Amino acid sequence: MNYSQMRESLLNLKNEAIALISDTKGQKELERLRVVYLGRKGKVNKLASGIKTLIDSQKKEFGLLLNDTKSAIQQSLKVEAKRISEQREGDWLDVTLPSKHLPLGHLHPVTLAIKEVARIFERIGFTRVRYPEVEWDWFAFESLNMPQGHPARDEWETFFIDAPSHSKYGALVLTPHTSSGQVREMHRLKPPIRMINIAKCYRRQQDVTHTIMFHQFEGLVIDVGISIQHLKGTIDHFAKEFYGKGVTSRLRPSHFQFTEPSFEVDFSCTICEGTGKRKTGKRCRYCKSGWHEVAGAGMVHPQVLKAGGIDPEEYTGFAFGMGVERAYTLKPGLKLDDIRLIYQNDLRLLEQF
Amino acid sequence: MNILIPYIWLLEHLKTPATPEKIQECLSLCGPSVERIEQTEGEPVFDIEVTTNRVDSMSVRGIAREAAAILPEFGIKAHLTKLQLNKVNTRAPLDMKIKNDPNLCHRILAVKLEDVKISPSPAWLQKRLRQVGQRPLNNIIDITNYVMWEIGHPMHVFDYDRITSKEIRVREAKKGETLITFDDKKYTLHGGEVIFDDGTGKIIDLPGIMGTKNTVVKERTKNVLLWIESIDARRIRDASMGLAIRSQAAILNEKYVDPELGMDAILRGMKLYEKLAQAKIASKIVDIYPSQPKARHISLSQKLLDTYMGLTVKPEKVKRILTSLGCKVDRTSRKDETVYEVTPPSWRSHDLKIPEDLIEEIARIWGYHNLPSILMDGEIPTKTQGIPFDLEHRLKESLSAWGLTEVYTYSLVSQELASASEYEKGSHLKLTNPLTEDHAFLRRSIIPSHLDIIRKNSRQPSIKIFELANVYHPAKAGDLPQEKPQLVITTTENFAAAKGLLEMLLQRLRIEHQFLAKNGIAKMLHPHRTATVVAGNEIIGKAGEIKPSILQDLGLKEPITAAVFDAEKLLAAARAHPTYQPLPKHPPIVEDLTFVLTGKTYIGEVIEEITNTSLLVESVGLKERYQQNFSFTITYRHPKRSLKDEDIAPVRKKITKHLKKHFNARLVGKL
Repeated sequence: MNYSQMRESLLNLKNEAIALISDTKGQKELERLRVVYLGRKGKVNKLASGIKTLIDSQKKEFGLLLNDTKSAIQQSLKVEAKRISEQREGDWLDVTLPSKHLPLGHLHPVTLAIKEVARIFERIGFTRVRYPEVEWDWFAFESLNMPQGHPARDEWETFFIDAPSHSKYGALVLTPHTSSGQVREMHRLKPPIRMINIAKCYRRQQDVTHTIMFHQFEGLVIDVGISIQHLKGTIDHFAKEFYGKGVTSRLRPSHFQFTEPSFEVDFSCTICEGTGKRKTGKRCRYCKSGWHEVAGAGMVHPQVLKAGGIDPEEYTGFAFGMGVERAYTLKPGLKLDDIRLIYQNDLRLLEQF
Repeated sequence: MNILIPYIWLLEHLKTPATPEKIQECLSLCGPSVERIEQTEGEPVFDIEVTTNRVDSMSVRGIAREAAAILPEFGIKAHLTKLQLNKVNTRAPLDMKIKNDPNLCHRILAVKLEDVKISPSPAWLQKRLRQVGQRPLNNIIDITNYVMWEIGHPMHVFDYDRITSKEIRVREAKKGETLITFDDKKYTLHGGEVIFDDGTGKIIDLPGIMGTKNTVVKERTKNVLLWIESIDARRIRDASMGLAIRSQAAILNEKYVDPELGMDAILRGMKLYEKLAQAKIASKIVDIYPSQPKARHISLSQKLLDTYMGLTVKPEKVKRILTSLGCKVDRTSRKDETVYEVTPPSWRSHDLKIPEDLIEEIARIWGYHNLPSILMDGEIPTKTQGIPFDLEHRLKESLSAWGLTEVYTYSLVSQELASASEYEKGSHLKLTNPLTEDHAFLRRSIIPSHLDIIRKNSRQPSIKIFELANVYHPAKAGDLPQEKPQLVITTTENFAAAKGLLEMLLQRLRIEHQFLAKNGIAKMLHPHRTATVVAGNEIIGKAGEIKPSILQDLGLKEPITAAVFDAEKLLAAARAHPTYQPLPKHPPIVEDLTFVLTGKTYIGEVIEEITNTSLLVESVGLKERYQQNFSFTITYRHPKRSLKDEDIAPVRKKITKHLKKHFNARLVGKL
């Protein structure tokens, strides 16, 4: 091929390419054409290889022509690509078609509650602990100022294990409350103590609000100068974090052998906002006159401090205990009012969490 | 314990303009909790929860006493009315020999009433008894119940003429003695109960708990012996629990009813018998009172009070509150410190004993709602038990993120599930007092509980569950049982499918591990379809398919795979972060080699063999399997330079040779 033939071929190639490009139907074809014309072994490069046969002045001119051809084809490809993309914006897809996804797993409500409770107390300096579920009578009762045969023990429907008693610590029981961890924690640490003990407990009782196995969380704070005000502050902190800013707590007089003074802890009802009445004027069915009884609490009894090897002349402390399931089922909007369901392990229920 | 108190009855003992609702509010905040106001027979009746230490409040007058102390703190006038009681003019002696045992009985009050007219009680009295949940019988019996409810001290009435021996002797029962209570039930005594004997050995009363049939008032009774006694509270408790007789009298008497109330109660009773049964008082009141309770005093320091309250309480306030509750208060000073010497009233002598008891009284009457609410300052303790709570939660979150559902099953299992564990039934810890036989044994394995869930959710097409909980193994006498936390994952898949999850979990916890075919024997798991999971030199778990025979027994379909990890070991092996490996600077050579392997070859061992052939082998994976042809993808890399085919040719040769030697494997194709 002489120079003028080469020039003509190049021109033809350009026209041919642009014509084919503007005729393409889709992205794939466009990509094929790009390879045919501009690829490493493409038509343009093939023609370009003829440049070796030309004299210098022609070489320069042909070079410019080559560049011009390349950029014209590139431009054409770009325009066409955009046109095709714009066309695809008209493509229809049924976005309401149900998707296929991996199965969603579920954490048990008790785990969800425990995680939240632990975080709330850890944020104000409590250390989470766990103590035995199968425990000596001494830790469950005796050290908590409830000697053998004391009528106060009636309130704990306790399971006993068929095993020999300990010479010092007495019978083997399933711990009926997390309070058994109080004296254990005092044995573990010298004050200051800020314990949050979350564990399985067992009582011989089964109805809408009780299961033979359940969970409690127990707070214990011992230091110099701990007062009832600190207990109130801690309980208030929990109420607001767990149920929301609008919730308030109150203490009422009560009696436990291992605390003095002792309190019943109430949280205001989230349904009727503590009024005891619905907006319709009817009595709120969810609470007792605007309040929920949720916990027992008190200032640690001096006998219990002594059992834990702590001098009640120097230190004071408070403790509280609450049911995990009970606390969780009072969450606004949860509406799970039969605690037994939590342990029935019907997967249709667990999959709601 | 809950007690019903009619508002109208209360107002006979409490002078106050307070409405029932106001009384409910104030009492609940500062004293016994008034749970409800019921309308019974057209009148408001309080349903009040009284704590077991406050037997003094388990009566109309007791509640009136509390309200008289509490209401004025809310600015509401209230005071306790004085009991209007008559003097006894009769000087005639009681014709009844009473022999007390002062160790068993702390006070006896008795009086003879003649010519009683038995009839139904008047309408007002019947109504009050019904309002408090007591059934009216006749005036003679109703008065005893009425006085108990009003004053708070149980009382009894004998048919005077039926005690023919004219003797009452207080003694301990002997084992095997029997009695018949007035409601016609026969009891055999355990021994140690306090009973009354008529001097001939015959039991004529179970005092403080329930009357016996042989001396109770009958339709034709003419003369009665009105009687009050204070039996030792612990004896009442033991007898009442031992015989399972939980009468209202026993429930009160076991809680140390104040014997000082006895005189008020008997005088109140006599007045009612005169009025409602036309009784004539036929003797003076016999009062045997060998051990009058001594007034103990308690020293309360201002400093301790202020510490508990978190503020300074003014001495006038301390004095006012304690006095309103019936205490005597002397303010003194010791070493420049204010101290209150407090003597509680007789009716509180059993629950006010230490300074903290007094602090409770001051704080509650002051009102807990009036105290500020603050958080602790001071040092935050940081020493933990070392339990990795965060890691436990991370593990649970991973498993749930991969589609598993977490379950909590009962630690207490039935005999069926205990046996399914393949631990001897007798090797389980057992309850002495199970509530139901479904929950009688402390489990040694969690797997049976999971199989139970799969059984109960049989409609679900596929089930993948996990649980982190304790199992309980007996220990030697004197030691607590071993509580071992386990992670158990159970799925309705075969082993191969379930293994993927386990590998993901181990990788997420950054545990370098191996699934070994050896030592694969574990309870409940198939002997040839079970692996031991090893990290370092430690066995951390077992995973395998459940034995078909166990599934058969429980009516379950194959396959079910379970993995049991020792949670302590698993979490101890976990690493919070990786050790950084410098990114490779030189490209690898990746190639596939296919070998024909004989049946029952453990591929894990083959891969390990290939990996160990040369340091140039970076990783080995199984790409695919067709019949007995296994294609392995082998990645070679040199850390310092790019590899050439000449470098790996000898390695390839060595691999082929080793696999031939150890596994009788034949390479597909030529080298």
